[in-house]
Amino acid sequence: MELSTIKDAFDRVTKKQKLSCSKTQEAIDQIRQEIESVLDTLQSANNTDHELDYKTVLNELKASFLLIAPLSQMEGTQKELNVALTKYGKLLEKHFNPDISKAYRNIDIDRHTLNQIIANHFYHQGLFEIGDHFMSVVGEPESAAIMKFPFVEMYQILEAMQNQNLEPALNWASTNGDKLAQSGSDIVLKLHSMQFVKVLQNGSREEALHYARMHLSPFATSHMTDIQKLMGCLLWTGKLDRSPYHALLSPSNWDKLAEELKRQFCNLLGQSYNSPLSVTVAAGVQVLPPLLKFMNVMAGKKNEWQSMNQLPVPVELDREFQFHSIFVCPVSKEQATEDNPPMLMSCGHVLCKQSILKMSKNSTKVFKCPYCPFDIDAAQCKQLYF
Amino acid sequence: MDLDPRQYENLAVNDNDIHNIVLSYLIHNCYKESVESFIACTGATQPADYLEDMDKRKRIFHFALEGNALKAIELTEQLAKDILENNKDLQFDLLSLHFVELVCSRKCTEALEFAQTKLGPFGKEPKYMEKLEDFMALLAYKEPEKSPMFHLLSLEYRQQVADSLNRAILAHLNLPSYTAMERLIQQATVVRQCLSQEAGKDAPPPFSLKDFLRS
Repeated sequence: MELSTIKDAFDRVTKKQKLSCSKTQEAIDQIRQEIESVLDTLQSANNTDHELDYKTVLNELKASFLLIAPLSQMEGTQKELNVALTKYGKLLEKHFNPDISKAYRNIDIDRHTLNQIIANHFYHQGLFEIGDHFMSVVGEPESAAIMKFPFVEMYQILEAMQNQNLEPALNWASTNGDKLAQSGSDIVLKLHSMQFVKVLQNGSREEALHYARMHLSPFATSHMTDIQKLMGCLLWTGKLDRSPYHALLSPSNWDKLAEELKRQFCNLLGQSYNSPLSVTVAAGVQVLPPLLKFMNVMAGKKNEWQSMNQLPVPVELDREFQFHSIFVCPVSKEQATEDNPPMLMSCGHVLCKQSILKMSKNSTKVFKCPYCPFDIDAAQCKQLYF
Repeated sequence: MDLDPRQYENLAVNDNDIHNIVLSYLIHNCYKESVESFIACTGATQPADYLEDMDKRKRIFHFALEGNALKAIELTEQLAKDILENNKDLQFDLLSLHFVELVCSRKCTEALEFAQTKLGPFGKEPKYMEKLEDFMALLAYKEPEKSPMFHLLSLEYRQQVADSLNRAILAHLNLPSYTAMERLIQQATVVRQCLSQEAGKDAPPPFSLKDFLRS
């Protein structure tokens, strides 16, 4: 989003406001001076029993007020400020459209699912009290415990790690070692490495060696370089901070390890690292501006958009939001859908179902694959699942 | 097809040269009894002080080969103090041999202590860092023989270090670090390879020392 124009407009408003303020202050100061001068005159007349024509004095004051003309002095700058403020408001409305209803349609939302998504977000973030309170308010307290339970364990581990205590994490890793290995994770080695460095930092060389033999040697064949570096640390027991391995002591290693643990923990739970709600919101924020822009252009055709099956404009989402493969049929050049899925032909090439039906005259004729000389029987084509 | 013998069989070779080549090989490898027998049989000229130096070298070589590196270091320093001072690589290799010996004897605490005091200072130089890590990794195993670095425990590795030490001592004594025999074989092999490349498709098969010795 282009924010420089908004910043410029804001700067203009503040500039005008400062100018208006200084002009007003100037006028007030002038008026105060005139009044104080008159008061002094009146005071001195009282003290000297000198006869004074009050009417003349006040008329003179009135004349000086007319000369100062505070209203006309302030009017110009105030007017300029109002213009700048109005423009700024319009600019904000243009950029931050408060009415996003143009860019969405009303669909029936399953309240239960929505509540689950929101509660899941709270538990995912470790906000257990808020999650529990929310679930009791929406009348689903019984499912709260089931949703919360795995995340409670995760946050207990993460909290311990914040205090540089790896015991809970290591227990979890040893319990789930096989599953973690299957998913290709090396978190177990990372945890043991961190614990080894911690033992070494406490100055016990023999204990560190014993720990290495117990927990690091099983990784030697797959992570030889890591093991060599860790064993090299033994030469600098008690002075690791002055060794070639001082990077192992960086506090950021704990943060990285905690993040990696959270990622692997969620992975084993079958959950994504980010909560579904945060992913949805982040994707929505990215998609909303082009949709709003389009809807403003197509303002008169709202009903048409409400009945469309596809988005009216191609919307680009970053790689982080792409969770599924996309298949585009090389014949029809259309993206596959549930109704028009990709189909594997006997030759190994893939087309969309509708293209196959079209080419086989509704499965009545054998047709040639557009990519190879094979004759294809539509009945033998199999649906592909990505 | 091999080289035609007629190309070289008329080339005269001096017996003394051959005797010297063989003798230098025997002296280099500290085969003392063989040297004495060879001199007695051929009447070859006996090099000055060769016996005393050979004895010392033989003992040093065997200590290194057996893995008794500290004894090898001690004797080397007696023979020539500055050999190891001027050759940090060799010093490191010998100290690491002793470390390996301690690891093999399952004296891990002692090995760790030795590594920290004697090998640790080498770690300041990046070129020793990698080697150090290799040796230290041996400690991660209850049975280092089954570790991926098992080659560091092998006779071949000790032989390599012992050879390097022997060469360094020879160089210090102003003797050739490599025997004339080795050099001649290396040169002959290179020449034969060059001839093969020049001859192209009509070339004889690649030179093989084993085949040559059998013929």
